[in-house]
Amino acid sequence: MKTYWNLKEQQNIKTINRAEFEVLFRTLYSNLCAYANKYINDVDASEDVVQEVFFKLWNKRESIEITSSIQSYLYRAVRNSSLNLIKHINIREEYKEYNKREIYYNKTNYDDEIFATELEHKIRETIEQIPPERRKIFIMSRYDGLKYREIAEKLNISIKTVENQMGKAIKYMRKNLAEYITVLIIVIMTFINTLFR
Amino acid sequence: MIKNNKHINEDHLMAYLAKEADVQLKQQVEHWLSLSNDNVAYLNELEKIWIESGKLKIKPVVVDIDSAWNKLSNKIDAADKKVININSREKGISKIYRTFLRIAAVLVIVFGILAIIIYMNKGTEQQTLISQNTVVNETLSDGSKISLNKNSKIVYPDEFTGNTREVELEGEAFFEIEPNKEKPFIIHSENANIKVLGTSFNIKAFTDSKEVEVFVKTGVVMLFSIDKKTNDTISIILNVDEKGIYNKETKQIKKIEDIDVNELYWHNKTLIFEETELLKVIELLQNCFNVKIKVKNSNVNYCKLNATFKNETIDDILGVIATSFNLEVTKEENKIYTLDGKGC
Repeated sequence: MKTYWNLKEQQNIKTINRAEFEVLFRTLYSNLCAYANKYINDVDASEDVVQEVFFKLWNKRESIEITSSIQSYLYRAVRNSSLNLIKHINIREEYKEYNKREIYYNKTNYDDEIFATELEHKIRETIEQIPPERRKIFIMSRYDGLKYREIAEKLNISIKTVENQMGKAIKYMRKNLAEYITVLIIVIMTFINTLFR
Repeated sequence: MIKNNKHINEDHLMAYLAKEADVQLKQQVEHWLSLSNDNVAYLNELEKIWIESGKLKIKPVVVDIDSAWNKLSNKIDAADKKVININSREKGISKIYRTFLRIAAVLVIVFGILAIIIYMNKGTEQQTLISQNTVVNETLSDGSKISLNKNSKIVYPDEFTGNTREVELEGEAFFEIEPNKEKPFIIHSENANIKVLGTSFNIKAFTDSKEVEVFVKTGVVMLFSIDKKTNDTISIILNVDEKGIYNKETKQIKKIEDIDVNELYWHNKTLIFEETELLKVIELLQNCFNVKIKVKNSNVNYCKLNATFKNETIDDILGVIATSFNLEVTKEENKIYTLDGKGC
C-alpha cells in the first residue's frame, strides 16, 4: 500500500527522516520528471536532474529555509536545473527550443501552468495510480504516439495483452473520473438544449 | 452498462477509440452502438476521458520509481559514509587546522572543476569577429582564412568538433577554405547556406539587403537554402568565376556567369579595366574609394580604358586616366574630383 505525502500540509523538512523522505520522493518523482522533460525533452536526463534536486535537498535539509511549500520549492529547483542543463547543451536545435520555451515560461506563473484545471490534476493523479506496467503501456500509446503493434514489439508482449491492458486502463480511469465526466456531459447537454430552444 | 452484446468490452472500445480497430472490429462496435443509447453514452464517456487525457499540458513520462529511489538511496548512503570517514579521521587534529584543511580541499576541488570545464569548453567556445570601418583578417583553427569587409560580422567556434565546420556570417567576407573532404565547411547566413570542400570565394550577406551573393574565385561551391516551413531544399553548384544570388523574398536561387572582375577590389586592391567605358570606371572608383567624381563634358564618359591598377591611390589612378585621354583633373576638398576635357 502506498502512503502519499500530504501535499497540502506545510511539512517541516528540517526534521524529516529517511523513510518520510522516501515517501516524499515516491509521491512527486514521476510528476517532477514529466515537468523537467517539458524543458529537456529527454526522459533519462530529466530523471538525473530530479534525482540531483532531491539529493541536494536531503543534504541541506537541516539548514535550508523554505518559505513556500516543499512542492513549490521542488518544482522551482527542477525548473532551474533544467534550464541550466539546456544552456550547456551545445546543440543548435535544442538551443532554439530553449529560447522559445524560456520566453514562454517567463510569461506565466508556473504554478498556474502545472495545476491548470482540477480535471487535469485529477487525470494526472489517476494515471499515476495505474499499476506500473499498465501505466507504461498507456503512456506509450497516448503520449509517445506508438501503435499497439509497436508497443507489443518494444515490451516483448502480445498485441492481445496490449489491448487488454489498455482496456483495463481506460476502465479504471472512467471509474475514477466518473464525476468529472458526468459533469461535462450534463454541461454539454444543457448547452445543446439551449441551442434548440 | 454494456447491454445486449457480451462480446464487446472495454478492450474493444479502447482499440476503437485509439484507431487500432480493424474493419471487422469497427463494424462490431458500430453494430453494438446501434443497439442502445446506453451503449452510445458509455462510449462517449470513454471517449471524453481519452480526449481529455490527451490534452494534458505536461505529458506523463515512463519512469521506474523503485530503481530511481534505489539509486538515490545509495547515493545518500555513499555520501554519509564519506562524512563519517572524514569525521573519525579528524579526531586528533586541532579545530583550526581541520577547518583550514576543509577549505583547502574545497578550493582544490573547485579549481579542479573549473579547469575541467574550461578545458572542455575550449573546443566549443564561439568567437565573434566584427569589422567596422576596416577590413579584418582572421585565420581559423583549421587553417582557413577569412577576410571580413567593413560592417560585417562572423561567428565561429574555437575548434571545429564534429563532422562539419560551421560558421555564421552577416555582411561580406572573402573565404579561403582549407580543403577537407571529410569535414565540409558550411557558412550560414539568413536562410542561405554555402557548403564548400576547399576553395576560395566571396560572400555578400548584409541583413538590410534582400539578396545573398556568392562569387567563386577557385574551386567549387554549393549554395543551398532550406525552407523552414516545408523543409524543401533548393541548391546550385557554382564553379570558378560564377556568381550565385539567393533572393530572400522570393526564396529563389539564380546563377550569373558574367562577372565583373573588380568585385573583389576591397580584398585584393586590384582593378582591371579592359575596354571599359569611363562611365563605368567612374562608378566603380566612386564605390571603391568613397569619393565623388564629376564629369564636365559628357563625352568623357565614352572613353574606353585599358589599364590595371594594383594598390594605387585614387589620385594616381585619376592621374593616369587624365593622361590617357588628355583630360584635366581638379580636386575640391578631400573627396570631390572633376574631370574635364574633349572626351571621346
